Amino acid sequence: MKNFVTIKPFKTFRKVKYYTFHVEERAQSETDAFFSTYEQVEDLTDDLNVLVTWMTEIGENRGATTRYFRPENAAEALPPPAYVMAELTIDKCDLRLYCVRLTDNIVILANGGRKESNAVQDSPEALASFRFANKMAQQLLKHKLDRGIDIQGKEITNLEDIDLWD
Amino acid sequence: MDAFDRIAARTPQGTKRFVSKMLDIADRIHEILEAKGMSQKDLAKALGKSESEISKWLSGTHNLELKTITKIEEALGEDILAVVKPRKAPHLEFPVQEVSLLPSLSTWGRMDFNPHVEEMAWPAMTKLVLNEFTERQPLVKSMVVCRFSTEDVTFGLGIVPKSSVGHLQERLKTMFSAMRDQSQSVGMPDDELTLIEFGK
Repeated sequence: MKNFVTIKPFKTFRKVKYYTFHVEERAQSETDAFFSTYEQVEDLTDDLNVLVTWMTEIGENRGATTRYFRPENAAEALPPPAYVMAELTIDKCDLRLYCVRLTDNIVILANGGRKESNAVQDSPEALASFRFANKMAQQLLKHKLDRGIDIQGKEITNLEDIDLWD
Repeated sequence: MDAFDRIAARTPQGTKRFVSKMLDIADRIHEILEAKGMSQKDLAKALGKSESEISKWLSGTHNLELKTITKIEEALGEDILAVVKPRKAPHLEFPVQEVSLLPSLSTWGRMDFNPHVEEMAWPAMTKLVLNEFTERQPLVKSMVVCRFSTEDVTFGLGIVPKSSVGHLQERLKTMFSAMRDQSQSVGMPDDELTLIEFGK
């Protein structure tokens, strides 16, 4: 059975508004679930700190330009700050937060997880989020082409018209 | 407060600064490339690196070594990093002959101002003299107390390194000339700017 998915505001910064996907009947949005799940995981503390800092820095001061994101098929991922982690003396960063970047001012965040292998298909924890984000990205692209997504600055003004299904 | 906010609150300042600096460097390189109409490919070629390597450098997630940044600066012909150099505080030890003049003149005294000139000239001139003083004083032995004046108006006093008197005089002339151009209300006489040195 398919579940209806809505897009809701997540965090608003000076240059970027982050939205999140919310699957009908789930208690939390996808992104709230992501941060709640990993917030207390000790070995991911530094990874999450950098990820949140990165999102805040881009959101507040720089804008969501393409080069700040990692392409993940039709979707993107917010930095898996693997290089950053390495330089913060953390050998490896496996965390991924998938998202859909609509413009330099609008990013819709999905869920994420640990990516413990080179191919996401071999990382069960990240794979579901990867698939979900790509499914949303494809539907959003179709919606954009068929009916349009109305955008004013960092606001999506026709959220109620966007039908997404998981 | 949700989980995102709690994580933001617990993140050390050092992490925030590190991420911000890395992005600053990546953004600066992009800015120069754009201004020069260069692509990442051009930069890769100039550095003898692969385009994917350059792409990684410019992602903002790569901690570039200073040596690498310097190479990029050379290839682009522009500065990427600027180091803040602290200004030296004024050093107030003067040769005896100058010190003997200070009680009567005061260190940064002023006298006989043309009222039309005073308001605009004094802050700028004080800054100019102070800059000369603080930048060069540690390097010179001989300081002089100067009176900057036109034929009939003295508009400031300053203590400057003897070696920079000529330089300072030229800069003052330029400054007042610019002020005259900007405002007809500045009643600056057109006389030649003279500089009287004390304590030679």
